[in-house]
Amino acid sequence: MNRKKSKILGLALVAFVIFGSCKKDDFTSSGKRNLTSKNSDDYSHSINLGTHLRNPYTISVMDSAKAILELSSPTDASKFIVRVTHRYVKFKPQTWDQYDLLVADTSLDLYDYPLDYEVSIGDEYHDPQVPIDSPTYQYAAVPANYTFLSNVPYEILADLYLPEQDPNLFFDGLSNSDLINKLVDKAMMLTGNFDDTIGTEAYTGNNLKTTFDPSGNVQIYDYGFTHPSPAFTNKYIPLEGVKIRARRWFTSRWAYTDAAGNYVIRPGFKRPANYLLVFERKDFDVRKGTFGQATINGPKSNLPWNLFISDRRQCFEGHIFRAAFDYYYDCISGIGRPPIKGFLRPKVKIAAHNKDKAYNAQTHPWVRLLGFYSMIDVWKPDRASAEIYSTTIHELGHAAHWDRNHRKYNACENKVAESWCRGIQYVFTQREYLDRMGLTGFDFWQGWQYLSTSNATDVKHMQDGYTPIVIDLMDTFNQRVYGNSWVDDKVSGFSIQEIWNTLNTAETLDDWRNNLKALGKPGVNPSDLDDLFDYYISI
Amino acid sequence: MKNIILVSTILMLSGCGKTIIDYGNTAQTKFVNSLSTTVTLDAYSSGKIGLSSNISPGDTFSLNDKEEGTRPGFFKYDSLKLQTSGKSKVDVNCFNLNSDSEKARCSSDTVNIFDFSDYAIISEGDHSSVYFYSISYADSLEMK
Repeated sequence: MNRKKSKILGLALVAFVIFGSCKKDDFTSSGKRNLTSKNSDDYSHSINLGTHLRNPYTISVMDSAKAILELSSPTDASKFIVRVTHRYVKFKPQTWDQYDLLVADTSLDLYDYPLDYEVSIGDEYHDPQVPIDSPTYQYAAVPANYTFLSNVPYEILADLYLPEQDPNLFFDGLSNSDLINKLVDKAMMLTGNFDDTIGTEAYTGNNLKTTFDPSGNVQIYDYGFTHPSPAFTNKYIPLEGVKIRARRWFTSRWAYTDAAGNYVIRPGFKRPANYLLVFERKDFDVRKGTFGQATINGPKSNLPWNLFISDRRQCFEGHIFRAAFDYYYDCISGIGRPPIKGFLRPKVKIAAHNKDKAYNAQTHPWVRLLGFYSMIDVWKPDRASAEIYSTTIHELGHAAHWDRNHRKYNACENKVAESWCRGIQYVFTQREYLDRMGLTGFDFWQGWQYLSTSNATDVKHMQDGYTPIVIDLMDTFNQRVYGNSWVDDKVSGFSIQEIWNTLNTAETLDDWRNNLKALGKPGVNPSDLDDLFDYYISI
Repeated sequence: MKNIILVSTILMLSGCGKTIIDYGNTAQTKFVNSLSTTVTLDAYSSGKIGLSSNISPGDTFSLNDKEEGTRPGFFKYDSLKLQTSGKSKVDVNCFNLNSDSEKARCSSDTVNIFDFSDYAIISEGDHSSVYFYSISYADSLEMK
């Protein structure tokens, strides 16, 4: 043994004695055990930073860990080539434009908080040194050869060797997993991170823990309407498609929840991982207000994390996500989807503004190519969940319309744009609540279809563009049974796909009618189409 | 100049696009008791009572049903029972019935608390309105 190795070993043993005596063996059995179901209110507060932990993945620590391993297993140690594989980086976007550029890089697993601290559960962290209206620092481990964006300031906090992501160690498959754990365990002990050890033979003999796959279930509370009471919903429903990340120091893995809200992240870890729910997908993400990714930070645990979201703000974000997920990825009968991400096509950002405003939402597609700011804004978080869902579908309907034909979308009259969205929100919301949830009696009409020229409010509503003509084209109900001030809707049987296809080139209701007539749909009398359209055109 | 060209180019490439603002209409219901006796009002949804109130003579009962829609949330109830002086009547919400024939038949009920045309509607701005219904002698005539 040379002098250098002896010195390292000596230091390691001292550290072991000092810290080792403090070690509490709080590992439980490896059997599955669910965390106590928590009310989401536990998460509806800011994330607090705890102890600043010593980084076990720095080059110097890893060198020391390897030296210790070499003493007992020189063959094992020889497989590690400690070098800079990654860098621990603190990004410092000065503006929201810079922030958007940064988060557009989907290769990065960004975190709002530093990765070498204990963190509490919560749903928001903003560095106290950063003005509240500026983007907070973003933290990530990036590959050593990562090309940094020239216009986003950053600081390299540490050079890292991440054996878990060292491609040299992947060749032998599973056996190297144990090998990596031996090295990492020693690094954890050297830095006093005893809760992160797994008890390899070097530490506790044969108490090698089995791998745990981060898993769990996510449910979201569906707030019903105030009236009628009892409400149709007011219960938890699964949240599908949301991303759950599990992080072990600088290594993040993730999975999406399935239709039942379940998720399993594989491969798993042998040590507790930090859970994080992120309201994002490849094509869209939900923002907290105008800026900042909507997330919920879970516990550090080696047990399943089951999340029941009931906090109003988190539900607001969650139901917006739910609607967007359905429009983007569910079966939608052949209609066009909202804009998808691609080259020079940034993902759509939907801002969930946690406050009331004079209006429900707005869509401004022109910001999309620029990549900054939200394309869709939604307000009024305390509405019934079905309304939030429905409003989001409505706005995405505008986005899909714009994406299909920019020029026609910009040129079309409000009665075309809004009637399309009125129809699509009706179709989605009825399917979700009536058909899928089986909520008999749920009829999300909200007055949309029951509009009369004898009612000034109704007239104003239709003049603003919100006619129920799309619903009228599909259903068999004729509102004229209520009287002559109601539309005489003798048309039925059009599919939503046919309506969507004929919307493409329509600038006016008259154009749309002509496109529908051109389909020559059997069973549809052209004069009935005239009556239907004329009613709304004349208002 | 360079910046103007750059911005113009970006806007052209982006296809511009109009901003659409979606106002959420809200509406609220208020019941005025025009009778000389106290009226009990019970609203039902799926066979379960969801709203119950006593309205003294001349008083107005404001319902907290200001949710999104051109119709107040009250109109989502299935039926409503009005009682006064030991008599009562039940109005069925025609709009919540499933079949067209039921709806047509129901619309022949001339004094029905779910009939929009019997309401005085006051607009509060472009996107908010209040629906007033006066519980009147016409209602009491239908009570048994």
